Amino acid sequence: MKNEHQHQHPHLEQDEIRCSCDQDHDHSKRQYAHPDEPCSCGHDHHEHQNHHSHQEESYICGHDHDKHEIHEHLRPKTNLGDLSITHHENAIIISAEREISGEYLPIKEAIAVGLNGLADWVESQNGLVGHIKTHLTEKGKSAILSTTGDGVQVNEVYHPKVILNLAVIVFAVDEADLANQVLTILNKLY
Amino acid sequence: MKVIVLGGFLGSGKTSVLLQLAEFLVARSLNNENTTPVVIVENEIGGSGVDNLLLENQGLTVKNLFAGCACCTSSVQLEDTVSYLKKEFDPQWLVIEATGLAYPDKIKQTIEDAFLVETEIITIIDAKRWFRLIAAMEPFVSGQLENASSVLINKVDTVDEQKVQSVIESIQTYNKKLPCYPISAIIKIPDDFWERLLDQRLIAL
Repeated sequence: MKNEHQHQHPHLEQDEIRCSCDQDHDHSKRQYAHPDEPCSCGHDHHEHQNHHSHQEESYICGHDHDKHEIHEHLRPKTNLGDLSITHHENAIIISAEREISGEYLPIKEAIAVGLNGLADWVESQNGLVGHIKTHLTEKGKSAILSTTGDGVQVNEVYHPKVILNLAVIVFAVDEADLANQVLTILNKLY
Repeated sequence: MKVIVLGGFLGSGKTSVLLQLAEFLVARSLNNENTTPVVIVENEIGGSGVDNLLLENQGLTVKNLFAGCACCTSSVQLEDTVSYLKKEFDPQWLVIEATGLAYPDKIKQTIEDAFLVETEIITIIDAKRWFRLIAAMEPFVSGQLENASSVLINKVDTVDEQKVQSVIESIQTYNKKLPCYPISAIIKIPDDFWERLLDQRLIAL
């Protein structure tokens, strides 16, 4: 997760945008008396780490950070396997893309069952489904057509596969449990 | 360029409505070789999209705006995107499909302030889930109605007429003059519906 020597958060690319905490950082100070203690901002810092590429920005924790580390909230959000998990307002947003070997129809049917089960699980947790969506694309046929002037040779291969794009937006459930539910559905497809 | 913002909560049927609206606009647009009839901005809150894939497969011109909400975290990117599309395609119609977590009014404001173009909001709501959503997140869901030109009450095929009427009454408690139109986006929405809907808001179809 650590992204050394880089600061990738979008607001670091824009000098005019300040940190959400609206405080200034002092880069000359160390952050922690006890580096093993968690930062009050809830983020994961290293004692020599720094949030920012420019000094005007700062973070709600009020600590300074060394420039060799990216701040937790500048990193990509939680990743569980190949799932990307982000948040907006109170929503948990999971997205994923997978290539699954196999025929389109049984995969489509298995996903339909899986998504229905996922919606039921959310309800059972007293959560709220925003939406649960997938897009499937069938792939797998390819051919080489060639000639040296004496007719056309055709070599066809068929390795059926499905490209799956998934978007899940859900409210008021445990994030890790939700991610595990999604992974269970996806992993059954292989 | 005229701009339509399609708003509404997650799962309300925005993409299904958009497919039909785009088809109508393409068919009705003037045969002008110098412009593209319709360009769609597809905003997804997550890191990858699903709806854009469906729209692109329909042959529509789609510009994706992912990993943020155009009404707030991605409003600057929205401006940049629209600026690019205006220059590159000069579309007759720009349709922005908001995320289900967006306040369409904020998108309208961003576009009007930046481009001084007429922008209308059509908010889609799910007749079946309306009261549940109102109970769970009333300020947010009702906020999606702000400054809407009209509301399409979708999925009326899943509820009875009495429920549709009670949904309309509920919506109009937030704005009693807000026009509400029951639809089912899984069946063909007639052209004359779109003509009437857009004619009353947007001049010179």
